[in-house]
Amino acid sequence: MIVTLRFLIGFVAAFCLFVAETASAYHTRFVADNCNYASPTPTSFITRDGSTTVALRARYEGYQWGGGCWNDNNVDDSPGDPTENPSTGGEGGDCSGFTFKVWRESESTGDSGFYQWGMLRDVHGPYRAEHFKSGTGAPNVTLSKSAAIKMDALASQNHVGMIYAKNADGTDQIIEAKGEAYGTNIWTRTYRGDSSYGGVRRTGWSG
Amino acid sequence: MSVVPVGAGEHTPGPGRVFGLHSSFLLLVAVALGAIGAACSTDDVSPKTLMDGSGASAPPVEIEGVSTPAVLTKVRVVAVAAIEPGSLAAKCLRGRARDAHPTGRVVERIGVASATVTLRDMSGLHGCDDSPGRREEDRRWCGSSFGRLYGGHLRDPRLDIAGCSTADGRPMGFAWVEVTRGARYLVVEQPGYAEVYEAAAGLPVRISTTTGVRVEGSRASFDISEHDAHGRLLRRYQLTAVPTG
Repeated sequence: MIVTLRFLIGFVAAFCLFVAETASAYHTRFVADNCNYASPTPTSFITRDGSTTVALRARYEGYQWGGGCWNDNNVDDSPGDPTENPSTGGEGGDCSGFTFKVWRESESTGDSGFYQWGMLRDVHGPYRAEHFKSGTGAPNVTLSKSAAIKMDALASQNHVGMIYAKNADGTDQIIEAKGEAYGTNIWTRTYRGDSSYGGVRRTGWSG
Repeated sequence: MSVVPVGAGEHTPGPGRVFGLHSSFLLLVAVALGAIGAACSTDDVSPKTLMDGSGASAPPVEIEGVSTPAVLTKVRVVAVAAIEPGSLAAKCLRGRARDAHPTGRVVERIGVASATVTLRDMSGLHGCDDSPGRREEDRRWCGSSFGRLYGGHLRDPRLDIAGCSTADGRPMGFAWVEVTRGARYLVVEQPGYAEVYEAAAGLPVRISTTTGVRVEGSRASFDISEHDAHGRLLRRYQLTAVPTG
């Protein structure tokens, strides 16, 4: 009787573990199932409106630490991934990967050219938020926050977001990949008044 | 060398002599090339100096399982209160890590083609990286990193591949590694040598690679082994990382 009971307890425990592992694995399949490694398309120029369009396709999609691949179904297809784990393979970019792709930059830091990356192209790029803050890389320069306009960015050591619109009260609507619990969206932010943030511009806009 | 007299001693007349001389000559050339080849294969091509110009030395113990010449990097641990003006730590705190409020001890490291500072404050881990290559706007540091700590640990190695390069312009990668309990030495394979880092102050070790960066794919790989105080191999692995956050 005791042996049977132990067996049952063991079986139930093993089954629960299996279900839990399966459930957690479910959230890590987005990149493996959907993303690609296609080459980017070089483009001769980019506009701020064009980059806004690129950014808006990622709106309502997910967030992935170290990631850079999303679709455009307005759903986070891998919610609840563990935070700050680059290996979970979920949907979305992180803040710097999102900025890199929207600014259509090169993986080579010495190249300031324009590269159109597909939404489902899994690419993060070489920069982290602090690189953007310091203007690291040929395409990126720092500028005063007061001079920052639409699709320039405000960056700190830990985060970067692009200006979608300026509000009359001095705050900004920032389009950003915010975090695993929030995904990618537009939020009103006070980065412009935060001393830990600086202004960053992608050079070479045609308009 | 012992083969030379044999070839030199051949005295076959006529066409044979020509052939004989030819073959001797070829033999001599082959021996010479062989000697050069042998010399090349046993030459110690490991770096003789570290990035600060000081002489490179071997680690104090034999590092098990490392076949290339091992070069010991320099490490200096200094209490925050004792940081001297002009030191690497002071320059890091005046520069890239100026927002940090360090506590405890700071670790300065000098490698073959790298210099780093690692420090910790309440918000996390801060670091400054330097390399021999050119950098934008003559910045003092080619890179810097910050990593939040969760329960005292990093969740990813905070790879930096964006700003640092070798003297000939190849991109370098820098990353933090938390060594296994009991590990005293961390070894990173570099082309032709192995760079040995000593664990210090309980902080993650900032390592670099001169050849592991893959620009396409924005990632870097480090071939690593960890060893105890006697040099015994504890584990060997490849760390592949991407920039994050």
